[in-house]
Amino acid sequence: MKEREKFLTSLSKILEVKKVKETDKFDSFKEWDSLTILSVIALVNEMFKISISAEDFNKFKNVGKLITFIDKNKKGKK
Amino acid sequence: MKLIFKNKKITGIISILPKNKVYFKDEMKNYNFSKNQSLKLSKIMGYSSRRIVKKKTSVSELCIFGLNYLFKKNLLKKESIDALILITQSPDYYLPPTSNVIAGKLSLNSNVLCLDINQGCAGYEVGLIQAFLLLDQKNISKVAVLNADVLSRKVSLKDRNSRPIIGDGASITIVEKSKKKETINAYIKMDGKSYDSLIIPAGAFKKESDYKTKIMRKDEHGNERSLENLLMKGDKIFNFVITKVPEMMTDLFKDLKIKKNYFDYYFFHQPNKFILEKLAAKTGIPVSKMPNNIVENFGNGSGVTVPLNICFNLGDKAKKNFLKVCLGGFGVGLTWSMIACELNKLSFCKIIEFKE
Repeated sequence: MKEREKFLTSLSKILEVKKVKETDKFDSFKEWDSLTILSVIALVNEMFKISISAEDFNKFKNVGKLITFIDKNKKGKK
Repeated sequence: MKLIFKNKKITGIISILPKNKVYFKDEMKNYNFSKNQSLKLSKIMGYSSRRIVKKKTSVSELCIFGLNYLFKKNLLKKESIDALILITQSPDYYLPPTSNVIAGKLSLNSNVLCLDINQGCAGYEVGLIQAFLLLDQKNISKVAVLNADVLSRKVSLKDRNSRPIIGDGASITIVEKSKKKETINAYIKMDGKSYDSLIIPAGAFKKESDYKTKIMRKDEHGNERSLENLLMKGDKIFNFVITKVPEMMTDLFKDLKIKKNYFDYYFFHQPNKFILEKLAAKTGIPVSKMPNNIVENFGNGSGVTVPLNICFNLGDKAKKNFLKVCLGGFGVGLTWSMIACELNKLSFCKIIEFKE
């Protein structure tokens, strides 16, 4: 749980908003562009050692879907 | 693949940069990004100024200029060169080999073995490996490894993925037989399945140039390119580098039974500051030992970045000191490689400018 909070805080910093909710859609953020996508890819790699491609973000409808993906792949690796 | 070499050494490195300097701030109007977004991009990626060729300067011109400088300054004897290896992805011609052209223009002896190699970001390591292999021959005592590219000519002005990083230039590294018994360990891996992560899709023989391949098209992020422009899939390259490079480093440490503080420097290829900072964080190597200041000063000149990194960050220091270094290249192919070697009092280590 702590990890999830930490991830959401880092995500909000990248997206330049106060708080990120799991229901938030990526493309609804003002700062959502290719640079932000790369920053999020780097964050996920840093925190969870998972590689996500830019294409994957089209599949993630919102932040929650990304977290579900991370959880699944973390478990798969163990 | 691991390769082991004995009794070989690097004795001098020179980098040749075009005098023409361009600035990110002047070019950002070409990108489909707001001013704010562009400024953020330059801050995160470390974009500032770059060196690119102005006119139609070719790879052979940069190399000939550098070699002539070495001859004139008595840093290299023309007759002492036994082999000339040119690593480039922007040759003067499809055929003949550009290394032959260079040797011809310099009137090198016809016994000099000329060889072109098509490699990019790991081109320094690939070139050194080839030089070490040749030096096993009785008749080869000195090899000139030329890394040179003018790829800015193939990058679209409206591509903010690749345009802000691309740099041009050349370097010449002299590799010789050595009486010392030191060992050089080289590691190299390839992933041809990801060949299209970094590619110029058209213009060669698979898809020849025609009017269609010259049409500029917009991608989903608003970057405009034709099929004859360089295309880099930034996310794929990032994931590749951040995964494969630390893996290879861990294997190298294990294999050589050393710790990361064994090396005085990690001279790595310079894709951009962002990737190098993430790489440093992931591997726990301080930036002071893994310089990342090449793109902001000169741009990413493909295989030239590692020797340029050495010339820029060591310079004269390399002439006085004995240093243990880890050289690393990663990119097009995909190819990634590391060489653990020594830089022992080089006879020259400097940067010169080519005026067009």
